[in-house]
Amino acid sequence: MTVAALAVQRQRRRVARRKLVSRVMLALAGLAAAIAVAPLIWIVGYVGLEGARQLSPEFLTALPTPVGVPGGGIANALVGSFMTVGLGLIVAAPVGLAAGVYAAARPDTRLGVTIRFATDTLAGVPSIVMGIFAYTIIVLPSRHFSAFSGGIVLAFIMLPTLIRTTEEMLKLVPASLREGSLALGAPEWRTSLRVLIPAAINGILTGVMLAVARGAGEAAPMLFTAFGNPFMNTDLNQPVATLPHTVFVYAISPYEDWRAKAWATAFVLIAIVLLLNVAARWLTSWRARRMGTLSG
Amino acid sequence: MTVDLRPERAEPAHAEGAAAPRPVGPSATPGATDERRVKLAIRDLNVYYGAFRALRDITLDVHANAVTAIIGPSGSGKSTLLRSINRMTDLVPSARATGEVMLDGANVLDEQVDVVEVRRRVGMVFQRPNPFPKSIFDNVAYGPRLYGVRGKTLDEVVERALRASALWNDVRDKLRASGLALSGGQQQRLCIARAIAVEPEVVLMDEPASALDPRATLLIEELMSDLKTEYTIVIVTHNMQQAARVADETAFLNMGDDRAGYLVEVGVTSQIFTNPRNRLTEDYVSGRFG
Repeated sequence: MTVAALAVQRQRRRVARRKLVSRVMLALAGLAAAIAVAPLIWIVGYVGLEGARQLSPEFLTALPTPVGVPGGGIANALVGSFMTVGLGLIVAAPVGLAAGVYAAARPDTRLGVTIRFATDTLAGVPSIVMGIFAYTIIVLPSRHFSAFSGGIVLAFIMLPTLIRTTEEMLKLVPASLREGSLALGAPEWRTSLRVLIPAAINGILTGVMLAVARGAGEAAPMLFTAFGNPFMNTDLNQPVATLPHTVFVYAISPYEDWRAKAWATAFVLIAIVLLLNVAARWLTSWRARRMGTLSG
Repeated sequence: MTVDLRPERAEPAHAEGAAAPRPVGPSATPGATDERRVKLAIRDLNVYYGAFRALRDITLDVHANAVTAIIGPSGSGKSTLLRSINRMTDLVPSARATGEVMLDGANVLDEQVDVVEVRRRVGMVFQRPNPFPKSIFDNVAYGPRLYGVRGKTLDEVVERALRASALWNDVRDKLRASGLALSGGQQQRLCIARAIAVEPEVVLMDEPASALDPRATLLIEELMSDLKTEYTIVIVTHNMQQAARVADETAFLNMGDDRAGYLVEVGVTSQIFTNPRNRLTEDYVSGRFG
C-alpha cells in the first residue's frame, strides 16, 4: 500500500470516529433533555389523573364539607386565592415594574446596583421566612389572621420576579430604539413609557405571569397570614382559605376522602396557572403580530 | 434670490458617481456664493471618551440647504462628529466635548442649552432603520406628539412628513399597520419621515443607506436631494460614490497617530474628488487606503 493510500485510510477512520462521537454526544444531550422534561410530564399527568377523578362542577362552586360527608368543594379557596394573589399583584406590580425600569435605565448608578442586589437577595429568602415576617409586622399588631396579610406576603414574594424580568426584558430592547426616541427630543421617562416598555411588553407580561404563578402556589407563608378558613369569606380583614394551603391541609389529613380532594385541588391550581399562562401568551402574541414587539 | 441646486430627478449624470460629479458649489455656480449661509459652525471641537480623544480640533462650516458628507476610514470619528451636533454623545456617560458647535450662532454644547430643543431642531436618521414597534402613523406622530400636536393638525403633519419622505403613496392605506411590516428601504424612509415630522432645521444621517439594497439606496439618495431645499443635511457615509452623488460639500476625516479623528480637508464635493488639496484625501478617494 502506498503512503498516500495509507493517509487516505487514516483520514477516513478519523472522520468515522468523529461522526460516532458526534452521534453519541447528541444522544446523551437528547437523553438529558428527556430526563429534564420527564418530571414535568409526570407531575402534571399524575396530578391530572388523580385530580380529574374527583373533579365536578360542584367541586368548584361548593364549600368544603366535613370528613365523611360526600360532595363539597373549594369555592372558598378559589375566592381566597384570587383575593390574596390579586392584592399581592396590585401592590407588587407597580413597584416591581417601576424598579425594573429604573434598574434597566440606570444600571450603573448606586440605586440601580442596589436594586439588583436587593432583588437577588429577596429572591433567595425562603417564603416561610417571609410568612413569619408578615406575621410579625401585620398579623400580630392587628391581632388576627387576614387575607390582607396573605396578599402582602405574596407581594414580597412576587417582587423579585417582577423586577428582574422587567429589567431583563427592557435590556433586550435594541439600543437603537432608545436612541431613536431620544434623538427626537423625547425625555427619558417618555422613551421608557412609550417606546421601551411597549417593545418589551411581551416579556414583561410573561414576568407578571411567572410572578402570579409563583404567588398562587405558595402554601408556607399562608400558614402565618391567610391562615385558612372553611367558610366563604370576602373580607380582606378576615382569614381566607387559599388553594395551596387547602392542598396542604387536605393532603396531611388522615382521611381518605380529604386526601382525594387534595389531588383535585392541586389539579385546579395547576390548571388555573396553565390557563393564565396560555391566555397571556395568546394575548401578547396577538399584539406582537400586529405591532411587532419582541417575543418574550 | 434662491438658487435651486437640485439636479433633475431623472438626470442620469448624478448616478455615475465620482467620474462625473455634479457642478455645484461656489466654484461651479459663482452666483450662489452669496446665498451660502453657514448653518452649523463647528469650531475647535474636541470630543473625549474618558481619557481617549476621539476628535481633535475639528473646525468645519456646514452650509444651509446643502448636503454635507463626512467621509473617512473607520475610527476617524465620523459618527462622533455627527452625534455631537445633536448632543447624542451625552448618552455615553464618559463622553465630554470642548469647543463650539454653533447652530445659527448658539452653541449647542453649552450646558445651559436645552438638549430637547437641540434635538427638535437637529433631527437624526440612523444606520439601521429603527422604527418603533408601533403603527406607521404612530411612528411619524411620535415626535409631533412630544411637542403637543394633536388631532387634525397631527394627521396633516404626519401626511406631510410621509409625502416629503416619498412614502405616502406606499402607506396611505395602511397607516395603522406596524412600521416593522415595511421593507428595509421603506422603514428607513419612515425613519426619515419621523425625523422631519418635527420640522427640524438640520437632519443628520449616519450611514442611512448602508443596510439597504441598491434600489432602496437610490431612493434615499434622491430623497436627500429633495429634502435639502428645506433642510440642512449632514450625512456620514462609507460609500464614496454616494458622497460624490449626493453631497454638495464633502469633509474628509482621518484617524491620527494618537487614534483621534481630525479633519484633513473639506471642500466642494467635485473638488474633493477630482482635485484634492491633500495627498491623504487623494489616496482615500482613489481607494488606496481606508
